[in-house]
Amino acid sequence: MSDPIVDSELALAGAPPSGGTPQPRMWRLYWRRLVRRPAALVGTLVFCFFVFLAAFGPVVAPYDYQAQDAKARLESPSLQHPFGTDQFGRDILSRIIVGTRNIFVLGGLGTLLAAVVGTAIGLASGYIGGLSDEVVMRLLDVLLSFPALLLALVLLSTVGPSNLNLVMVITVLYVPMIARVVRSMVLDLKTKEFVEAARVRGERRSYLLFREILPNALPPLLVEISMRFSYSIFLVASLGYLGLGVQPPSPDWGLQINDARNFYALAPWTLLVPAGVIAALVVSTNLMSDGLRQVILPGGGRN
Amino acid sequence: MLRFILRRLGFVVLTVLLSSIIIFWATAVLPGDVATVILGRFATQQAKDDLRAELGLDRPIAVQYGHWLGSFAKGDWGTSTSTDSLVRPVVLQRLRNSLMLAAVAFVLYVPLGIFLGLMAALRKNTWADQTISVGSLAFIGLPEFVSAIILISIFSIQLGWLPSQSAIDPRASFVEAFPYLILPAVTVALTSLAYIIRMTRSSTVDVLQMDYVRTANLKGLSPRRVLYTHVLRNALLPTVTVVAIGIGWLIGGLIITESVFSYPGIGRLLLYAIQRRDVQLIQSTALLIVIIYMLANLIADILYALLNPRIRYT
Amino acid sequence: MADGLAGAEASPAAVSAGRAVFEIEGLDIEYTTERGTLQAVRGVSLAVHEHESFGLVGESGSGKSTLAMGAIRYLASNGRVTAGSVRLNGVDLLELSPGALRALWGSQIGVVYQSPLSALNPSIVIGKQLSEVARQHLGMDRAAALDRAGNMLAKVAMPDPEAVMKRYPHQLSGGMLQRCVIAMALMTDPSLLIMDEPTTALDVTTQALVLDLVAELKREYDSAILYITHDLGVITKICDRVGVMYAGEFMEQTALRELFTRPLHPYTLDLLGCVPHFAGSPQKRSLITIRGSIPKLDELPTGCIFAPRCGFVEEACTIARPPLDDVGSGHLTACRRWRDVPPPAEYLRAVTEALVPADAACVERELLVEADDVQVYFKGSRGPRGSGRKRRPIRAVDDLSLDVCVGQTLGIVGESGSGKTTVARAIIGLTPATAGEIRLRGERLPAKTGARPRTTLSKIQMVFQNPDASLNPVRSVGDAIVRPLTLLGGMGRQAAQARAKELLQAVSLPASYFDRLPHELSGGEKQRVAIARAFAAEPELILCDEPISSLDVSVQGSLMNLLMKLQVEERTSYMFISHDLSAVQHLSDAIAVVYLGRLVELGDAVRVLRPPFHPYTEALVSAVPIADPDVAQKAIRLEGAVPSAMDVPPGCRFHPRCPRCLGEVCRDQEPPWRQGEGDHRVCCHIPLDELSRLQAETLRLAAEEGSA
Repeated sequence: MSDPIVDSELALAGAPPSGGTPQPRMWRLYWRRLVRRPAALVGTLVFCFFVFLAAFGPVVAPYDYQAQDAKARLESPSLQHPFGTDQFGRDILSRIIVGTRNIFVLGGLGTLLAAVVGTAIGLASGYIGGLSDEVVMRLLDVLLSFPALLLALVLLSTVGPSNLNLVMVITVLYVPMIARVVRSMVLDLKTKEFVEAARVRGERRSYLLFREILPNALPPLLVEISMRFSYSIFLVASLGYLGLGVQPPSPDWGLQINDARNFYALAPWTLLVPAGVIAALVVSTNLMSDGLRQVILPGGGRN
Repeated sequence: MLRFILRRLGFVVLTVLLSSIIIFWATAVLPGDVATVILGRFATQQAKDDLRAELGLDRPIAVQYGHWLGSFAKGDWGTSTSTDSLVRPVVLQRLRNSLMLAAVAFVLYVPLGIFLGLMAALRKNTWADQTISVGSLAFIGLPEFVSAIILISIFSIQLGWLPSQSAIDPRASFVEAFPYLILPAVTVALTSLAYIIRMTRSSTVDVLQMDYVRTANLKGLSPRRVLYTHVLRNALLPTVTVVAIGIGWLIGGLIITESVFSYPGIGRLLLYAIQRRDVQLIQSTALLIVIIYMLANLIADILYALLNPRIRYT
Repeated sequence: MADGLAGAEASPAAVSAGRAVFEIEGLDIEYTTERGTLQAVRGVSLAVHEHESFGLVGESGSGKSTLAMGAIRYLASNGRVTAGSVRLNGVDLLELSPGALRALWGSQIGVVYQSPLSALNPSIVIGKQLSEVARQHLGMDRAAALDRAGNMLAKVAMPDPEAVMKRYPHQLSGGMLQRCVIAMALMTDPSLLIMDEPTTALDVTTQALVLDLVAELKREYDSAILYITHDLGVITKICDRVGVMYAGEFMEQTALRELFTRPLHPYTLDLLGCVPHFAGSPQKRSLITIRGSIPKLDELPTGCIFAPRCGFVEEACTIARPPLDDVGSGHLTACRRWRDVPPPAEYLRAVTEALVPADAACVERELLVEADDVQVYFKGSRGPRGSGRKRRPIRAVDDLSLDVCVGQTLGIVGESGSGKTTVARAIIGLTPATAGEIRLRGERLPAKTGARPRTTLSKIQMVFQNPDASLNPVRSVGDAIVRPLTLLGGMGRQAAQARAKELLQAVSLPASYFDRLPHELSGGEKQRVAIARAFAAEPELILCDEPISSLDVSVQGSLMNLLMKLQVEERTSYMFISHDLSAVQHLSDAIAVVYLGRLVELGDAVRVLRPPFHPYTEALVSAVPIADPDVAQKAIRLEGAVPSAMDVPPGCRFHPRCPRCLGEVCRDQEPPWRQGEGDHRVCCHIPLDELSRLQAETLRLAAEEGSA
């Protein structure tokens, strides 16, 4: 029978009471929980703001990010250039805004690809089980045993930095973790009674995977994807800093920081602004991911 | 228990082998013609062929791999094409430097991380917990070069307490190097700190909700005794694993941090090798880093098995 | 008689006289949750005396655990006591400082709760966990404390206490662990012992041992015992007084015998009728169904909280809440109409119906499903060091044969590790049999579900144990039922939806539930949907794997009625698998008893549960807690635990624990099947007439002891 002390904790988390009456749909429940957590809410809003910038960047930016102005080099922030200008006279604000798109596209695309491939692998491997599952997992474990940045460097060092390669590297990096998460969900769900009930009425394997198992594996998957995305920002920025990411004249934030190293004493804003923006995006994404986890898995989804 | 250790050891060996295959494939198989890179575009075909034969590049790939792996195991790590000196002494020396840096960082973030994580869990939902939790969440994804720059700007440029660059002599001793280690160590420690805090907090919160904590409280034991004897033992157990996994982050952080501070460690060496497409150097450095990481994980697993009665006495 | 005396204390003229040790008066406990403040416990009073055991009975949501924990002030951070007083040996617990409270907890209160494995720290050896208490509260030094711990373990009949003290919790079995926890609770000779469902997680036979232990300890110690449970049978073993709680309030409080023979509250009356009466009599009656469901704490009715579901409700009941009054000789009830509450026997006769007797149902003896020599082996992990490197298989089911006739219910009963669930899963193909044959109407079936054609699959369906996992959380109720109709029944969408609504009504759910999601349903309702879904495929056999074990008592009864009703309507056969002998006996026409993967007895339900029966069946029957204080049971107790299926004992599998073991022959040879009356078969070395004689003797002795 249920333990009321634990029950009260669950009640706090909004678990349904006994005795059926209609409950509000899940989304409203999630929204209510999110609103209750100010940090997560702020993170989500800031994140959405960045998404907006990524989508409409070039339209919103006041200047062309490539436009050089020899007369306005290294100007400190002013009304004309709210974030100042860099060593070529380019408006930093515009470069930042357009650079948002870079990070989102590269990181986002890589994460999305990793999600698709990883989910496919996790579903197949988890469901089929047996020796092939063991083998696949071991192989993925090997990839996971590389410190992330190291693997990225080793791969990029040889194929050379380009946008496409960057996306591929991110994908390769994150597929193992996502596959693992999906696989563990599949292993858990595979034994659940509703899946067995489906087997007992003769459903095909594809139906079992896509209509019974996958929809229930989505919540933790979503949380994992959002976390991976935040790490991908980290990665793209770091690689950019090292010169192995996006190439100039592209307004990659990490690259901007690298460029600005030499001018730090003269014009600290050339360095601090991109650094601050990276920090803002990373922090907000983290807060949002964590909020997502608390909202979708209140019982305790920890890493 | 012995079986457990052997299994883990076997897994480590297998992983190292597979990793070496990946490294070899990525560095020796994928890229363009090495001979052209070394001799330049205007070298004659004959010269390039000769060089390739000399470097053993005309043999089948599997053989090349076997040869490389065998040499590595024996301690012959080849010659660096960019510096024209033996790879091994350089790598080992830089490794030592990185280990010094890692050790200082480790001493900084592990105890502090565990302490703060515990604090946050014990004072769950108070302002202390909120600050620690949100703060760590904020730091966990902050790239090291960002935090490095911020730290440099505060402590080197504004306050002038610490040097902003650590481009010391690679042979410097620990004592000599120490003042130059501080800022890089703090930089590296920040990200790992956040990770440890979150994991410790999470596992402690889990333990606090366990029935046996209720039992301990209802036995009338003092809160201090409940904490030290019952909670900590079980909450800190996963920390061993967490710290081990965190070393992966640490390594990544080291690479970037050494670059920002120009510190002569193995990470910087790797970057240098990559820029110059020095294949031998890249291979050896990368493989060595992987081996060290795997060994650290193995030690952590063994430690965990020793400390966890469920595994020790199966 | 006693109107107006709100909150009267129980009169001290209770069964075992002694001073009042634990007194609760007018206690209110509330919780703050997302949905606002909930009053979990309202105006509760009770008293427990020295040497007395007070049984606190209630279903889920009754607040019984909250009451106990709240009374000793151990609540989650969002709970608090808002009114009333709690006195232990005269000291008011609500006034104590945290330090004094802790000291009290450790020295004067012992607590035992449901899951012994999680109650003990996995990283500390048993001896240390027990001695801790003595060192803290009795001021003993290490050696003396360990000594005392060893003594306590011996007192709780722990074999080899010295060795156990050095073990870690994960190395001991459930029954042994619970004894350790009890020993730990008694270390300081506490005034109050709180036991919260301590045997719910244990096997029936292990439970019997623990209950015996508690009864014995009760005689030996002075402690007052507060025993919390949902099982009416269990309280007859050890409780002197009983209180029935419902949704946070007491409905009735009285002496044990009074509660069963002359309850004075409609809820108690109904509860008694929800449990199948475990007796050998062939005249079965349907069980009581309490309409409606337990109210949520934020939607409590005005007036009597049981009124919406009460069969004796009047208008006056819904206006004001009736107080808990003493209506004579310590019998308290919260019902205004207590005078009109009839005796249980009369009430049951009036409200329930006689069921179609067993024999008439299965007249044709047409075989539906046959399982022949089914074997299910799993790959085992390598044995412990020193037993050789070879992998030994886990022999979950070994050479088991049984059949089910058309329209019949076969009950399969056994404890954990018996393989009963595995047999069912082998028949339906989820866990394929490694050897043997399964036949449906003579036709051999492939071992795996995946290899069977859909026409075959639709004939055998299953209802599972865990209602929360039975339904896909993202699918609506309607979808769940429509799917088998379209997939297996070949219906079009419209037709399927109409039929689905019909099925919903057949399982007594409103058609409006069609669009609801599973998380909006209660456990019992989910199980009904699962049953509807199983029937949607129009099967000939439904395997029910512990379908009611995780539900409340009142809901169990209504589900059993539902299953029986549907069987009569659809002429479906059931295979009903359970560890609950009362439920199996109530529902089944034939019973199969399984132990460690082997069938030990098979036959008509009535004959199996009467002598001559297999010694294991005998032990099971004697261990079932019967909700009737007048029935005497002989205590046949099995020592030890069920062996692992990797280490099956040679000869008769039951011989290491069998109280009637003959010695060598049982150890060396597998026992033969002995034929009894009709279809009755027993697998034992002892001939049936000998068994009959011995067992009749045992029962006679039990009856004598009971009346003495």
